[in-house]
Amino acid sequence: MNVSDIAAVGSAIASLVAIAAAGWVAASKRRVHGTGRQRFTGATLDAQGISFRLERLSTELDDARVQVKLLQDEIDANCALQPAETGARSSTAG
Amino acid sequence: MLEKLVTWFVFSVVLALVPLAATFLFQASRPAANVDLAKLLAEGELLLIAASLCAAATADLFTSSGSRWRIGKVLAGGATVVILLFSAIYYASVATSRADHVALEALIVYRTSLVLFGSAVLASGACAFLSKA
Repeated sequence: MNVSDIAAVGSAIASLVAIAAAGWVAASKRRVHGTGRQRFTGATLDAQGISFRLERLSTELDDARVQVKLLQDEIDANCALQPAETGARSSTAG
Repeated sequence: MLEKLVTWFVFSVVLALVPLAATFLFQASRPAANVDLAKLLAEGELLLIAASLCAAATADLFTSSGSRWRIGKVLAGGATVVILLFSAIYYASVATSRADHVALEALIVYRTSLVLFGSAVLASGACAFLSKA
């Protein structure tokens, strides 16, 4: 073997080592984080979950608004009654 | 990741080959040109490009942030340094032989240069990939 053969064989082996290292890292990353498609599916499911929760919160907010409206009506009715009662009491006292 | 690899390929590999391509074109455009790619590459310039590719990729890898995948980075970086050394030593051998007017087999230098350059591209690509991992 002369210098050129040694250089060629050595560099070929070294490049294989480098490629194998990169492949190993890529495979490990894929195993840990999942493939791009899996991450996309996971993100889609997350988005769907958030959308569902938002919808539920919106419904709860509507219910709360209705209850507030009922309470407000009740308060208004009480306020309308109170001046009449107060007037009656004051005329009795007079 | 893909963006990094494409940027590396265009700006490190393709642009590094432009001087050789220009030389080839100038030689080919001469009247009665006797163009021989093997003869052009047998000068050893491809070995210099391979060495500089390896050096840049190794620097990029060893200065990259992130301490994950250290074993992979050390393996790829070490292999790239080995290719750098082979390219540098072989270029020194070729250049010294030429300076001393020692006849070299152009075809062997051409083939070895191609193998070293191909290995350098693969190993540097692995380093560029790992520097973003």
